[in-house]
Amino acid sequence: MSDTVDVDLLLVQKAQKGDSRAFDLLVLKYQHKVASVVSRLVFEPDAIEDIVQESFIKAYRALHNFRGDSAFFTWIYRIATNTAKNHLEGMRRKPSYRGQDIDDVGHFDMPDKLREQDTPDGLLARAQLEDHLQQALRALPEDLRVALTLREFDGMSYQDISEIMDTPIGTVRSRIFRAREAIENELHQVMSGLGRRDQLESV
Amino acid sequence: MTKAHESFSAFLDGEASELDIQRMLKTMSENPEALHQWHDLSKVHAGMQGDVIVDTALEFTDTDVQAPAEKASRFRFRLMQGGIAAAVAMVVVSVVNLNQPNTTDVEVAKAVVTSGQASIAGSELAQQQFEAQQRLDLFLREHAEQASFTTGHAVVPADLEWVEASE
Repeated sequence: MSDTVDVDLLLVQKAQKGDSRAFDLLVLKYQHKVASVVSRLVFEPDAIEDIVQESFIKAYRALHNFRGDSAFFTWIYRIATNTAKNHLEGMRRKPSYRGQDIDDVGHFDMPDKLREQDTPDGLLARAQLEDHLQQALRALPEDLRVALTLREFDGMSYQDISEIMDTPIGTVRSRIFRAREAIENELHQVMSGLGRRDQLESV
Repeated sequence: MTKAHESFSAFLDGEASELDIQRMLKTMSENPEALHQWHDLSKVHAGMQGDVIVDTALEFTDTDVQAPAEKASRFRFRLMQGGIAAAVAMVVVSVVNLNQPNTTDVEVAKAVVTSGQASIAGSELAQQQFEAQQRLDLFLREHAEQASFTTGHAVVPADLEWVEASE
């Protein structure tokens, strides 16, 4: 399998040539990670979504300046933190949150459990999502559950999973996708409540 | 279609190949709804990773964002505009120079000759200028000779090859 950075760079190069679909894929891949970074600086869920969107728009407009010296995520990460900082300064608030300095939140680890939101609604939604995810995982056939668990919670590569499960990489890819698809089908209602657009559509 | 979904799933995990990218782009062209399905898949991935779930991808595609390529073409358009403006300015300056009353006939002749369109007219003008200059020299010499009979003040031509008019 190819390197992540190479694939991202390939998409950036296609987007630089005017293929907006390539940039859509990058947004799909990184939108939630960027939102996680922004959520460490900005509290309001609506503001987080606006800042994430603004960050990607800024990135798209400045894409011709991207030379590939750093990874795409590093670049969009910097744009997002600057956009969040500007937002906070625009709101005349201290550019730090939960006692963290804005420059100290650069790295984010992969938590073992779902990160809690501060609002009661957020806490409830997260708790519900976590419960449903666990239930959906338990309901999966064993081969799918093992493949997805090794990937999502243990962070293993497809190659490693392939060796552990003694199965071809193509099968690993298929199992992980089918596991995600099954969970999505099971949790569609719960998941759709977490995005702003779906919230608006459901009203 | 399932292959494209598998490709996207691998893409989320950083395990996609160039072939996967080509497959996804092709699917996006043929089936725009795929973006929504992939967005849902990305939510599952984000939920398990503990990331904050947003709908940016769907909102981004609805937003009218100026493409980088369009920006480049706008820059080229401005360059072209500048070029046209420079060409027009050059033509205006040339026309003004041609119509300047204090412009010497030699310069006018040169301009006409370099245009390459009226070389015959240019040579006639040059000839006329040469003859006019000769007449002026002649007048100045006669004036100097006449003036020398009455007073010491005269306009002397700055021509070193002074030839006295023979009487």
